[in-house]
Amino acid sequence: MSSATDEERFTDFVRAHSGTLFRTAYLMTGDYQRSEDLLQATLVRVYQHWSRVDVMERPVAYARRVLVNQANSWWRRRSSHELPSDFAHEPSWSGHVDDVAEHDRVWRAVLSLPPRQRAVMVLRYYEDLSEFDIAEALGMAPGTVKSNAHAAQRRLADILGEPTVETVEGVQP
Amino acid sequence: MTLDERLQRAAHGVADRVEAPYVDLGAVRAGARDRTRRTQTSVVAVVVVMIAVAGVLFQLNRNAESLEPVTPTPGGVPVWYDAAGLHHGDVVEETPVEVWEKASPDLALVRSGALYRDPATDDVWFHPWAGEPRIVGRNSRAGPGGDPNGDLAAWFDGDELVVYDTSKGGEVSRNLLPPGDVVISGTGDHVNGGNLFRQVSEQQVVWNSGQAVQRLDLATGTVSELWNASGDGFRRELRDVHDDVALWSPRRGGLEVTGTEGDDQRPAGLESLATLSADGAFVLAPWEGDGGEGHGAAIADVASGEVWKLPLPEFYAYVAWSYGDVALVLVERDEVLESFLACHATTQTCDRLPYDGTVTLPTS
Repeated sequence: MSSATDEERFTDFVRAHSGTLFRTAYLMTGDYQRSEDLLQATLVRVYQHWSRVDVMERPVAYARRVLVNQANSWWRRRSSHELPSDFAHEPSWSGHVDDVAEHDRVWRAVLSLPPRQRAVMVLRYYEDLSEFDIAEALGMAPGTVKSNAHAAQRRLADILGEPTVETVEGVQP
Repeated sequence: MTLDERLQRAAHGVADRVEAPYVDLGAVRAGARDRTRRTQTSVVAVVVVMIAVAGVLFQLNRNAESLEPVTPTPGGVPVWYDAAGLHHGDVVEETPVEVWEKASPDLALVRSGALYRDPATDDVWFHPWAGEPRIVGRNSRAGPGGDPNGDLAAWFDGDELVVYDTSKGGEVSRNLLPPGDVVISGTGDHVNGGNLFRQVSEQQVVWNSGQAVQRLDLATGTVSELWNASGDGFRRELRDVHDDVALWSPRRGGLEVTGTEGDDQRPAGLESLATLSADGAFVLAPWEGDGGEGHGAAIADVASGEVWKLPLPEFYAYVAWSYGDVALVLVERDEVLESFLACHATTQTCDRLPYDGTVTLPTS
């Protein structure tokens, strides 16, 4: 990186997006330390190529793409697929205990999904991305996003005891 | 509450409860500089090595002990990747991504450049020898293949086979395949990278789909099987093809070459994990060690049947073709790289190549 302006723009980028990127990693992995590592690795990579990333229409889309793929790579490398027993590291814990239990139960079900289905769920329900943006972030065809979303919803409905699968606008089965 | 609402609330509920860590921008910058410095240091180290090697560049004749200075042979240049970057002959180019896994088919050639996969994003990059690298494909877990004599490249985008014209900068075709027909890699034994794509040309793309070898006819857009493991296919396995020339691995061992003008050949001493040069003129294969314990490598001339045993120690050889008649051979001993050679099939000469860390060979 060459100029002070570039440094400032990168700093602004980190301030604006690191929180969301970290939480995306956390929702995909359920592991605080791993999410911190993924965020750090992602930012290093973005910084290394900042002159190229900065001129992109949406630099955060590039960062998200790196993050999601690194998370998927990490998942593939794991020797076992055990689920986290709980969301252990929660310094800012707050909220109604019933809501917390419900959210944890639902998200454990999401974490039991295959990585690509889980990624589609995270990007749809946390980042509120459109089908097109999810496809871009995951390097999938939009049709593949649809099929993954549908499969994930069917599986979650089964786990969570939902009677029917609701279709999601923008991610129609 | 619908499932949709439950998921949305849970996502935000769980995310809101977790506090994002403080980002140490100094550590980010230091991490980036460390990575850059490692690359630059490697480049400097290789330049130093190359300068040193230039003084003692060897021509290895059939006898490995007779080492003489060599004049670079025309007809092709070696291309490989290591910690210093992407090597194209004497030129070392920095790549925008770190690509390299030894057993992954991540590097392919077309005549005007190389293609590689970013394992972090599964993007496919085209790296022209004269120009800026750029992303040309997505979602490629299996890595690209290419035509070293032409402009076409191929990769799998999910379950779709993409054929791409690097000179025109656009896709030629896209074929949806059954999910089972896409494999991550072929065998990693001896053929560094697995040789997933057997041939990419203007006429056809041929690839290994596990228990079968399949062909896309680019004129008609149809996909057909050239070989599968059932029935008569059990007798011998199709290893590589180039137009009408094919390499077969018989169950009883050895290697068969068919489709040549004369009788089918069975080059003595060549092992089955063989690969054809981009023009189909030569076969490169591991060589049964004379002592029965290690593996060397050899090149057979398809037209004449002549076999040239390469002058290298018989430990464990990885083989690959670069451009033209240039065969690349990595010799490992106890999984440590012992020797790296570029051998010219036409003149039967070899050059030692410098390397830095793990070497990735082309897959063509």
